[in-house]
Amino acid sequence: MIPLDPKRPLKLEEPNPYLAGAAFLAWLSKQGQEADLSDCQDKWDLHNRNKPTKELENFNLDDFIKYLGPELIIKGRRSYGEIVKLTPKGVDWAAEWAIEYKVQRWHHGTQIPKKY
Amino acid sequence: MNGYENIEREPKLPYGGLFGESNLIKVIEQVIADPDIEYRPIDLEMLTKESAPTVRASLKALTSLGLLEKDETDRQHPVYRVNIESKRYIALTFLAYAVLDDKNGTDSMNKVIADYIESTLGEFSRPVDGHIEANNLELAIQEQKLQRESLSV
Repeated sequence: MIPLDPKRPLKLEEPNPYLAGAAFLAWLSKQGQEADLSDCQDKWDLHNRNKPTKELENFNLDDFIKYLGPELIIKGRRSYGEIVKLTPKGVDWAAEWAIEYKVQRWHHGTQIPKKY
Repeated sequence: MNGYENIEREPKLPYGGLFGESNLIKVIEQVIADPDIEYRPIDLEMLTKESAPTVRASLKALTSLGLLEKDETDRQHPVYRVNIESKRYIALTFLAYAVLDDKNGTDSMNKVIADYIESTLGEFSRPVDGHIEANNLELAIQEQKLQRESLSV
């Protein structure tokens, strides 16, 4: 096997979204970077339930959005209602944290299908 | 400022509109975006904002194509999950990020591909800039080839 190269550590940019947050952001990214606020709230609750994360206890979606800041994620309004959207900077940042927390489905042993 | 911001008027289409906006592609986008979930038809009706017959037709098509698996343990309430063994699942995940990158000038797809290679082909160094170091990739491929050859002897 190829050894890990210690000279190439991954520098992750703060803030840390933690496991449930990284999973939520991976969903939002693959969803096309934005989604209806109500769908985001459902997904936020779902990921918090399925991937309980101590650091995000008592965080609702609004708290999480405020914690990340508008450079990374914003709430907005379209003609049909409110949405949540990752900024371009947020897209790259979220991809790094998704890798860090191994939230993609090709990682072994981390995912068991959950009921919606 | 973390209040509401003006969003451009372009509509949000699945995969950036590459495949139109049929219910089929809306369902695909939803299940690929969150493959950890078992979906009931009603979940996808809500997520895609389409009628029950339309979603049923999409689920039937995607199951027959092998992208979804239908679990009828409870015959009255079947659930569907993504067939993560399907290469199309992997490719569609990359495509979801590619759409973002083309739109934003970002580099998320390369990062995700690097993660996929690292976790499925061996222990690569984690790239800082999202690009696999060419030498490492070649070495890993050579090593896998040697392993396969030694197994076949």
